[in-house]
Amino acid sequence: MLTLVPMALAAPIVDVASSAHRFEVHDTHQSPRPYAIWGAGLQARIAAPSRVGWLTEVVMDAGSSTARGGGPSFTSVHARLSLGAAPALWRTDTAHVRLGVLLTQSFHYLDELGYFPWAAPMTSLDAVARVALSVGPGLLRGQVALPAVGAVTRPIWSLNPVAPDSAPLVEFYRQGTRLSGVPRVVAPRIGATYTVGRGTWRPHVGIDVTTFRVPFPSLVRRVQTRALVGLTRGSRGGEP
Amino acid sequence: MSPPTTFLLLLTVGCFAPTFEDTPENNLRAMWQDMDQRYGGFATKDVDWDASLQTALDALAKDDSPEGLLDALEGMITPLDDGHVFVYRIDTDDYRGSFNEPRESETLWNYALADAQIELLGALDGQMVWGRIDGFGYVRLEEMDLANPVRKMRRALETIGEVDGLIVDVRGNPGGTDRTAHRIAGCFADTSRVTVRARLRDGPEHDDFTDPISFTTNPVQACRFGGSVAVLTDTFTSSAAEVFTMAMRVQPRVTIIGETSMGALSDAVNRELPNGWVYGVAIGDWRDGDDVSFEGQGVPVDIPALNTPEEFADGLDTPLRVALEHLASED
Repeated sequence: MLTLVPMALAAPIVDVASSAHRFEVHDTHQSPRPYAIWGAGLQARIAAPSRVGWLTEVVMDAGSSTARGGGPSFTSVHARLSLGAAPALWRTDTAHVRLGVLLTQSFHYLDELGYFPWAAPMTSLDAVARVALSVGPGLLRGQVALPAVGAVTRPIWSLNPVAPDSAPLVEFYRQGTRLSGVPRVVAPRIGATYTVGRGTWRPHVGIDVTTFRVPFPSLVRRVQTRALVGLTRGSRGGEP
Repeated sequence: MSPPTTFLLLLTVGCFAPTFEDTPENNLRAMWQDMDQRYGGFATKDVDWDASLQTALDALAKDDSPEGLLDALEGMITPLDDGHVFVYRIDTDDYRGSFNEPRESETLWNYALADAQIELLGALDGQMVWGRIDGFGYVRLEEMDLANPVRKMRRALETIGEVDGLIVDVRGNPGGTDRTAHRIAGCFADTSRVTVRARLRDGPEHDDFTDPISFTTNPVQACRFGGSVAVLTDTFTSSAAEVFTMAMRVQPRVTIIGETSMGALSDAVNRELPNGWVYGVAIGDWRDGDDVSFEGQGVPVDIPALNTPEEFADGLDTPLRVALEHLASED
């Protein structure tokens, strides 16, 4: 049985940031129309690494966006919960590298795309590499995560899941969930954050790119690029 | 630009190269292909969809302005003759439907005409009207998207009180949700019956469908009415209101009176052209419990009844009068 009790947690790392984001979404299943969307949002991230290698991370960001060239506005939500093992692979006074595997539940949502809410929930096993480097006066933290296999939920072919005695949301998951993995599902996440200062809450800047490419029911491609400015608490010991 | 930033930007661009050029022909082809892969009516309608594309392309070759594109798209969907299929140009508020109206029914009947005949007892704005006429009950369902439909039907029937017969008027009802249709029909059901079998498109070929999904109309005791019922329909009774009509026509002591319904029974979705215009697609094949399709034909009536222009001008509602005569004969 999995137990998270003996984690010998280091101090959790908390990032709070405002973000400017850019989505490129072309869900050929939900709308023949490709979208480029710009906007801003807020992100909260809590990562709790343990000295024995467990890693727990919760990320939540929400924003508001507008399609380029006018057109509809969107509310976007991205939530992610990761649990897993990412033991330290290499550690010096100026560098700290973890490699591991995370079980991740991610949820991307736009309130409307092509007259339907757009959602792409995914439960996946991710290979992850995290690194922290002392660079100049601050700490550069980076992460690469690649979902290898998982369950992805997409709308069914006819978009409208019909069942006489069940709710549409239940049927969205029941009828639309498929097991798949690389290379059919390509959804790497790459991010870097640079933190400076000495206080409890220290300023940081960051950038991350989240991609999502799934070929079913027909091709959907989504790329989200974000620039982040915020505050970091924790990670004084150079935890990634 | 720093190497990490350059890398991230290249990754973004590389993953998402432009895939669509927004030209009139590309928009036309996008809609044709999308409907080709999702429209459920090809199963029951004898339509040469490839020929429709060619006709539309020929029209567009003569005029590729936005107006020309809208005309071409309208020409493309017209052969489908489907109340759920349309194209809508947002910037000019120009709606083009594919439904080939058999007559100008809307000029021969309206709510005011019916309201003038009945003793009004209650109404829910835009949803329901109920009252009495010649000792019978009258309930008009103006849409099929009611919250708590059983409670509303119960309230209407309790207000109407003891009557031997009831007219349920769904003329002009544009539909709503099938679930509501089955719940209301349950007020008149004596036993559970499969009243609808539906298949949804699940692939790009015209005959790619899910297995049939059975919808059962179950008796609902909370709003039970056991007397004779006349259901009034017309050309503009469509979608879930037709599902209601299908669910009612197999119930005991129910007679369908008026005009054949629109024949647009399937669920439908709105879709978006790359240029931002909207179009509608019916995504399935909806049939009755005996696997009979009324798509494109309409749910038939037991007793035809239409207003003539003269009767309309005189303030008469002939189908309502026929329904009353029928209920009186059932006593």
